[in-house]
Order: sequence, then C-alpha cells, then structure tokens
Amino acid sequence: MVVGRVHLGPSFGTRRNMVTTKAGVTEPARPAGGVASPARRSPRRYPTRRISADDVRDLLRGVADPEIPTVSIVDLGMVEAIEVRHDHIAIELLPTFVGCPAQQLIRDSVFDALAPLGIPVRAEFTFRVPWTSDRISPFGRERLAASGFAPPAGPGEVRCPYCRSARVAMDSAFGPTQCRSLFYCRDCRQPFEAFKPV
Amino acid sequence: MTPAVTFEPRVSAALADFLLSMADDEFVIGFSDSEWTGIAPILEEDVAMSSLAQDELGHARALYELLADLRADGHDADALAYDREPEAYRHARLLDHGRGDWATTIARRFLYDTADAARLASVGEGWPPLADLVAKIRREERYHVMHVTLWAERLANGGGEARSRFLDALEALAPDAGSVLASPDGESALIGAGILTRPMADAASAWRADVAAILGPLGITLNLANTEARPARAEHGEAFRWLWGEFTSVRRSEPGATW
Ligand SMILES: [Zn+2]
Repeated sequence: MVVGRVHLGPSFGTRRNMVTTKAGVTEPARPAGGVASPARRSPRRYPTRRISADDVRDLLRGVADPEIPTVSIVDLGMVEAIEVRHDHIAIELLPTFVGCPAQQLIRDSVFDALAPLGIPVRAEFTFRVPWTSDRISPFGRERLAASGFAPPAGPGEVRCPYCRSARVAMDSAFGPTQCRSLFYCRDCRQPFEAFKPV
Repeated sequence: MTPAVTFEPRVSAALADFLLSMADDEFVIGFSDSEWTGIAPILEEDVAMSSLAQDELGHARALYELLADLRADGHDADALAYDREPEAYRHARLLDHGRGDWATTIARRFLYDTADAARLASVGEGWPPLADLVAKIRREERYHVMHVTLWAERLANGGGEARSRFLDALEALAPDAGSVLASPDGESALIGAGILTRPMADAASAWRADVAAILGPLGITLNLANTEARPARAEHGEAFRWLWGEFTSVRRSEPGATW
C-alpha cells in the first residue's frame, strides 16, 4: 500500500552495484554470469572488524527523511540500533509516524549511504520502541529552527522560528505532512510550521 | 518482522477477526476523509482531512501487515485492503454512512474517534507486535480526538444552521455509533490471552462517559445505547458499495500492477 504524498527531496542517487533483496538486505552485486545460487554459495567474509557502529552512524548522517530534508535521520532519532556483525550490518529504524510514506525511500537511502562499505546491510523499521519527538537531538532542533520549522514543544512553548516570539497561535494541528502543525506569529506576522510533539 | 507466536487456534482466529475489524475501520474512515481533499470548507481543513486520511490509511496498512503476518497465507496488506468483495469488509456500521455534509463528517468522526480511543485503551500486552503498534497509534490518534472535538464545539456553539445540522447528524448516527465497540467474536479468548484487557462492553461504558463529558457542556444529550438489532460489522449498504468502487478502481483496472 502506498500511503500518502511523498515529497521527493534531493535526489539520493541510484543504488549502484547493489542489489536489494525482498527482505530488505542489500548485497554487493555479483558480475553477471557464473553466479552461484544463494543457497549453494559459500559464506563470504567481509572486513567488518575495521568498521565500528560509529562509522556507520557517521555515514547515516548523510541520510534524511525527504519530508524533513535539513535534519539527518540520526539527529531525528530514527536510528534505534546499529549492529556490525561478522557478515552484515543490521540497522533498526523507527518511523516517525505509522503511515510515514517515505519508509522505503529512507531504507533505500540507508543502503546507498552504506554502499561504500561493501558489506550487506539489513535495515528494518520497527515499532518495538515508539519514535517520539523527544528523540530529536539538540543539533537537530537547531537545524529545524534554522530552516523556519519550529522544533517540537508543548502547548504554550512554541516559539516563532523567525523572531523567537512566544505570541504565536496554532491555526491547525494538521499541516502538509503528518509531522507538522500550522502556526501564525502575531509579532512578525509570519505563518510557520511546527513539528508536532508526539 | 513479527516474532513467531503460537496461540491456540481459537485465540488466533479471534485475533485475526479483531485485527481485520480495526484495520477495516481505519481504512474506510481514511478513505471517507480523503473525499474532502480539495473540497473542504476551508483550506486548513482541506489539509487537515488529507493528513488525517494519511494517518488512518497508515494505521490500516500497519494493521493489515500484522494480519498478513499472523495468517501467513500469502495475502499481503494490499490484497487484504483491495482484493475483497464489499461483503467481506468488517468495518463498523457507523462508517457505512456516506460522506454527507460537513456536519455529518464531523459528527461521524467525533463518534468514531472517541470510540476508537476507548478500543485502543483496551488493548493489552498479550501480543507484543500489536501492543507496540497500538502504543504508537495512540500518540497520533490523540490529535484526531483533539481536532474533531474542537470542530464539534465550533459547530455546536455556532448556533443556527451549524448547530442544527450538527445535532441532526449526531441523532442520525447515534443508533449506529455503538457498532465500533460491539463485542468481537471470541472476546473471552482475547481477554484470556491478554490481547484485550477488558470486555468491549466496559470500553463502551467508558466511551459513553467520555462523549457525555464533551457534549454535556454544549447542551447536547445523546442516547448511545446500542438498541439496533442489525449486525455491527456486516451487511453493508449502497454508500459503502460506492466507496468500494472508488477505492478499488485502480487496483481492479490493472490487477497486480506495481509502481
Ligand atoms: Zn515571528
């Protein structure tokens, strides 16, 4: 089911030389011809000992939710777990909203970002831990505000991202994407969007 | 990936029915909301109804996916959502009414959202994949209740035509509203397995109190007793058949197409 309106953000490029399997695993593509069937293929060794979870996290700082292109999925708090195993990297992602239409796109971008490592990647979305707007990092909140998007805040605590005024009013709890509400600043008379606290 | 579970057959059958009814409710109300895209009374509502629709269809998708994992019979979420005949849908009778005017839409959404909140509050930890999903859904649904309650107050306090249309809509929908919280088949099995924490009759009492607490101050009393003899989730009418024709039209025009 394709849900909703996907905002195509900056191009994430193609998955060069990578194959995505149905289970959400990418593997380095094999040259055409002479490919052994997966069942018979001998286990492959990858140089994972040289890669740390932090290395992976750093690469994921280049991946954004296309609906919030100025903040990486790391700073949004969408990356719940990174495990570097002997033959693959396992990543657990949390959708910001249940009906987030960009899940497939984000997963593909994760595969792209990690392709230079040359190791199979398994990336899965889970509800095991609920994503909440408290997971956005301080840096992520700064980036949101800098792009004219008020970071999540409780009722009465939303500030205008342009003039920092507290004299703001919510026009609607629902904005152009699931994570946004519409506000109006009474001081600089600017409409703006705020991240919904969830 | 849903962890493997082994429930007794009567529990898994009841769980499958319960998931289907929740998923169909969210799917049908999501599609009904999406009918306002482009024609809502004000631009903000155009955006809001589209966003609500997106939330609901997302919840439906996640619930259909759980059901597909549970049944493991090769039918995926798309097949569950689109490949059934109208008679096979199990949404509540409340959602069988056509879109109607704005007052009807708000009245239906108000009755549904408040009832759905009581249902979600009745889901226990018995099946972790469902408990996790429901925890996440509840964080989103509270915005729906908040939004529709504001609209209920706005219409009720608007006097004149706004109030009278809203009251008429509530009266017309009230006999069907309890259908959302009708006891599912195998309810005791679900409670025994910890999938539900209370009978739906208890959830319905809590819901009626919630509704009264909101409508009372607006000078509205509504009889929400379930007096209808018709089945809660079957025998769908013309309005739903029309909606079904709409939401399956693309799927039927090119079966198996992907994009
Ligand atoms: Zn301002």
